[in-house]
Parts: sequence; structure tokens; C-alpha cells
Amino acid sequence: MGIEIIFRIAAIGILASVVSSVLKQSGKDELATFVSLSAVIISLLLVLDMVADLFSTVRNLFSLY
Amino acid sequence: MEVFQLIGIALLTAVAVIILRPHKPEIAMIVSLAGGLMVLFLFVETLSGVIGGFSQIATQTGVPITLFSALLRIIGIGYLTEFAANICEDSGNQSLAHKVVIGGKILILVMAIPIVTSLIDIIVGVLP
Repeated sequence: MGIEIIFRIAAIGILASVVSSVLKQSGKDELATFVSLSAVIISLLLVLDMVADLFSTVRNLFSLY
Repeated sequence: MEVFQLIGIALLTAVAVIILRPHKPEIAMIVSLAGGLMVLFLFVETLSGVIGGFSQIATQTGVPITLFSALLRIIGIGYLTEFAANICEDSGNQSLAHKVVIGGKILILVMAIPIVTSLIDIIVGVLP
């Protein structure tokens, strides 16, 4: 459970903003929104398994069945 | 010491959120969520040691195990609702955070009823 997941999501965000701004300049607006939407989805998926992990550990710890 | 790890994670997350907020506020919120999860993970393991100690004390002093597990469940609910409420507050919707807190309180109230009834039984038993 290292720090790299925070850097990974931050890198995805920055990459998405750069790519979408480049696409906006070149006139492909719908592609830019598509890229930013997929970046959000990818980072959500990354965080999702962490949330599931936290819920399972808390459930076992506090016997929250 | 975990405190350095904790401070490191918190500062890094804050910096990442600040960097991302002007360009992509939604991904900044996800970064803060991930940072919060990391901090929570640090302490979930140490909590298990504390809970083991408390359960030992409970069995020694004859506290019925159902009460202790209900108490544990209450702590777990408080733990998770606090986490969710702070995440909602960070992302800007305060009213949602208050609703989560109210829901958590109601759940805790439901959990606390058996504890209160057993307390009343004990008191009635003591009275002449």
C-alpha cells in the first residue's frame, strides 16, 4: 500500500487535462470530453478496489456483518 | 514511526489535490479520496490490536459478549460514516455530509438499544 497510487491518479489527471486542452485547440471538442471522461473513470476504478479493501477490513475488524 | 508516514501521505495528497483542482476538480476529489483511504489503512491494523485487548478485558470482567460486539459495531459505523461525511464535505456538498452523519447517528441509535436495555436490567436488579 505505497504512495504510488496517489501519484498515479495525479498523473492521470494531469495527462487528461493536457490531452483535452490539446484536442480542444485542434478543434476536436467531443474527443476532448471523451478523454477527460475516460480519465475520471480510470482513476475511479483505481480507487474503487481500495475502497472495497477498506470496507472488507473494517467489516472483519468490527464484525459489521 | 507511523506518524511520519501519516504526515507524508497527508502532505503529498494535499499537494496533488492543489495541483489538480484548477484543471480537473473531479480527479482532484478522487485523489483526496485515495489519500484519505491511505491514511485510514495505516490505522486499521493498529486498531485490531486495541480491539483484541478490549475483548480480553471484556471477557475477564464478565461483560456479555453481545454488548461488546454491539459496541464494536457502533465504533465501526462511526468510523465509516465519519470517513464518508468528510469526503462529501471535501467535494463541496455540505448538506450531503450532514445527512450521512445523521444517518450514522440513527444507525448507532438502533445499535445502542440493546445496550441500554441491559443497563436498565442491571440497575433494576441492583435496586432493592
